[in-house]
Amino acid sequence: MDKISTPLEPSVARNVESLRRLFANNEQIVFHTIESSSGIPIAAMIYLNVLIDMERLQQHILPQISLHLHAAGGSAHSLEEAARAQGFEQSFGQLDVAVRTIADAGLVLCVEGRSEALGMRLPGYGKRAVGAPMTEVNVRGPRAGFIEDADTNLGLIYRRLKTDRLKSKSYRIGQESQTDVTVLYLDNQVDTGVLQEVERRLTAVRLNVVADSAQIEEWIQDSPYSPFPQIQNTERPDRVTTALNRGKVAIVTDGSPNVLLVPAAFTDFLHPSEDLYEKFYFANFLRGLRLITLFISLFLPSIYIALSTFHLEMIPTPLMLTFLTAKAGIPLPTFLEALVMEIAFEILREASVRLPQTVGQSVSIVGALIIGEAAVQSGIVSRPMVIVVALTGIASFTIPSFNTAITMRMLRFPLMFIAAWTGVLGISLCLFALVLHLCSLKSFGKSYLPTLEPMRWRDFVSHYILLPIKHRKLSRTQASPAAVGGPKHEDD
Amino acid sequence: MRTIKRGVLLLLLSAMLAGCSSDIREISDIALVMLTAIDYDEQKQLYVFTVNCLEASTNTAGNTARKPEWIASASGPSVFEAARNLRSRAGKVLIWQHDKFFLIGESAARRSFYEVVDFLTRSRDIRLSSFLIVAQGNASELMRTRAETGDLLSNEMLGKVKNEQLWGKSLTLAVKDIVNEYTNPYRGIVTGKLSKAKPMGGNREVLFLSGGSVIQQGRLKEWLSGDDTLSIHILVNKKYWKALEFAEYVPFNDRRVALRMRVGKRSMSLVRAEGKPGIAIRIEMSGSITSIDKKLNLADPATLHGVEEAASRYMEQRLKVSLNRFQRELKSDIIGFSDYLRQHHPYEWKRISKTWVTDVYPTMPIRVRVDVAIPTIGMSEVIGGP
Repeated sequence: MDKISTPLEPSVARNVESLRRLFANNEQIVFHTIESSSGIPIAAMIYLNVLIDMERLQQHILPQISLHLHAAGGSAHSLEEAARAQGFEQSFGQLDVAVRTIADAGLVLCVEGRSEALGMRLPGYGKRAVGAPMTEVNVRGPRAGFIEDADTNLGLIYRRLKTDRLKSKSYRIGQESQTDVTVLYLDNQVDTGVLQEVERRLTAVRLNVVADSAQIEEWIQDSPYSPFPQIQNTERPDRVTTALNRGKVAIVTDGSPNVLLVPAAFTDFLHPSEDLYEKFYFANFLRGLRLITLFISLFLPSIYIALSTFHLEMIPTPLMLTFLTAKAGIPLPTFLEALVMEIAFEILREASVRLPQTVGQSVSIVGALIIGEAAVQSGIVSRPMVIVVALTGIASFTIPSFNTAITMRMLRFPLMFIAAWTGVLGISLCLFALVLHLCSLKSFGKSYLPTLEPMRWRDFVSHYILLPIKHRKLSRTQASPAAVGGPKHEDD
Repeated sequence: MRTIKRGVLLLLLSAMLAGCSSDIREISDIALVMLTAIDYDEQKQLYVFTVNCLEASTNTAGNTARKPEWIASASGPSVFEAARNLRSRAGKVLIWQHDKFFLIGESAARRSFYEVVDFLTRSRDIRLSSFLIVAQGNASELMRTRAETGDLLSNEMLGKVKNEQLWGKSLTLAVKDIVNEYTNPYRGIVTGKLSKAKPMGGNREVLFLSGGSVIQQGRLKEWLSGDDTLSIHILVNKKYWKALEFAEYVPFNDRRVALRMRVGKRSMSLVRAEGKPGIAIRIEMSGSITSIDKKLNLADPATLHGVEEAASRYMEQRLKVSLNRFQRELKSDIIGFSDYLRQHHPYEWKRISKTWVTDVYPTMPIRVRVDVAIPTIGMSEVIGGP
């Protein structure tokens, strides 16, 4: 930007002129002139009327300033005093700072004879209220979810961690959007290597506009071409505080209700925060169940294809008899049958996601009825195939992380091709390749798949099994007595 | 980016390969062989190969539980050729992997049991865990008999095999067990015997899996009665008696006591009698009383002991009769004493192995001692009495 380091001038008129030039063709910019009691313009207040809290400005700030100004005789000094009393705390001498303050929902006050302008933030744009998270639904646990406003989101985190150990650092990312990105961590827990890596990668982001944290995620992740998500995102403040306590770094992006958590392990995507709020028996049962559904959602259609076209001897005889009846007269080969049904299922899923909620439900019901029952009745698709596809679909919905579920759904298709080509041999080779790939992935220098290699046995187990709360590993470093009142538990 | 482009291209191309494999067998194209019968036609000197198949019929698409059974025979000079000749009639690809039963006709078993088993073990499609049963008479004829329950014949047969351990008068071996022993020149083996008869109150012939068939030197030697088969069950191997339950009707004074018996322990040892090697067998059994024909005070320990003694002697006698028949009439070591001697007394075995079949085994003294314990006397108890 060429306006960088252009100093402000003592003349209000010239400053206003410069700003008018910069904000030319902008209907929302307001230049409010403040006159002394004798009618001489002595100051100008500049703001974007759509961003600031107009009610507070007109009913409190402006009347107070003018009252004070008239009472004090209308000098520039008294005006400045009145303004500071109303919250104009920043003062700056650069034109670009003035522009940024205006753009960031601020008021800029240029006073005659001063080469430094005063500024304050007075955001008044609309934002939704803190509500229950839309995508991470819990039965038990806090109901609050992040919204699109970073300040509110930071507030939600700060009020859950009442400690001076909670540190933050802000970045402005996006040439035009100038989005605030705040990095949060607990300085006694965080791995400094990870923190430095986060800083290095965030400063390297080259984006024009940041619409959502997803763009930052894509920019800073380790392997952008891997189908697996390597950065966790969450809508839940409780999840962020748990992660901070585990030594993770949270990245809060203004304008996005999703907070990024790094480094992430593959298992983090399989455990919802609710696991910590249930009894550990139940939580572990569900964890086991989700590992099974993960496997089902990835492999079931391909295993069905492989067994029913290559390895008929692996199907138990009574089941084989059932299949024999069910498959009679089905015109499509098993592989095509599976492909058609899987694609139909994906179409249904996509339709029900894109449609408004009320319509979406009826679409999925009608779709299931038509695709499932009619296809079976007319003998196009066999019943076992409908069961396989439905089970696979439902299994993929149990994976708490949407981006992991979608990865599984996407990987299912190449697996089906390979199963139809080489049978179980191909599936096992794919599983082998997949595990190798997962082992090779890193998230901010930490291994992505929790394996025994870099860790201890206990750490490995804790990735998969939730121990009773008293047996979970305590904080990694010495807890500061000033930080938190009670004893600290490593949650999860 | 170039690697990615190439990778995507490779993936897309490899997707075209899906379905290209020549090994694909769609379920709708196959017929499951559920039973196989192998006979030998003496006059034409041909093997007759008969299969009982289930196939997916287009008429039954839907939820009907009826599955059409298809039975077809073909003949050929070898078993394999007969099986291949069957293809001239098969409308679908025949799959043997779910076949659990191989019936060998009496003629084939008497002539060349060896060749049939050899064929079964060399074929990749055939499961070694399937059962091998010798049919009395023509196997394919037995296979064409309708199942008594209206279920699939193969299902019914499987039920019969599973029920063997509840009465013991039939003993069916899997192909893999037969393979282990059928080439052993010193001993014989016993597997199931399938026959056809009219049941009580029935007017149609049905299949019975009862008794046994003695195989020795690669051919069928003799049929065994149900009682002798039960003795084999008890004597041969823990595998056969550990889950066995059988009924006995034991005479005690002037009464008769029905017992449900189980074998608890069986041991064998080499003894010398009259300068000859002999075998001593000790069996511990437990029985529970199921009925008595007259009043008997079992609460009296002396009476109970008497019943136990009577049952022990009765069982000993029963086993001795069977062993006598095996030794003297059949002259076939179907219990496997030769295996015992070879494993536990190799030097002795070396000395006698040459004359084992001709001299040693038929005259070898065998002592059997049975101890029956009756730990429970049943739910009802008659108080008092004589």
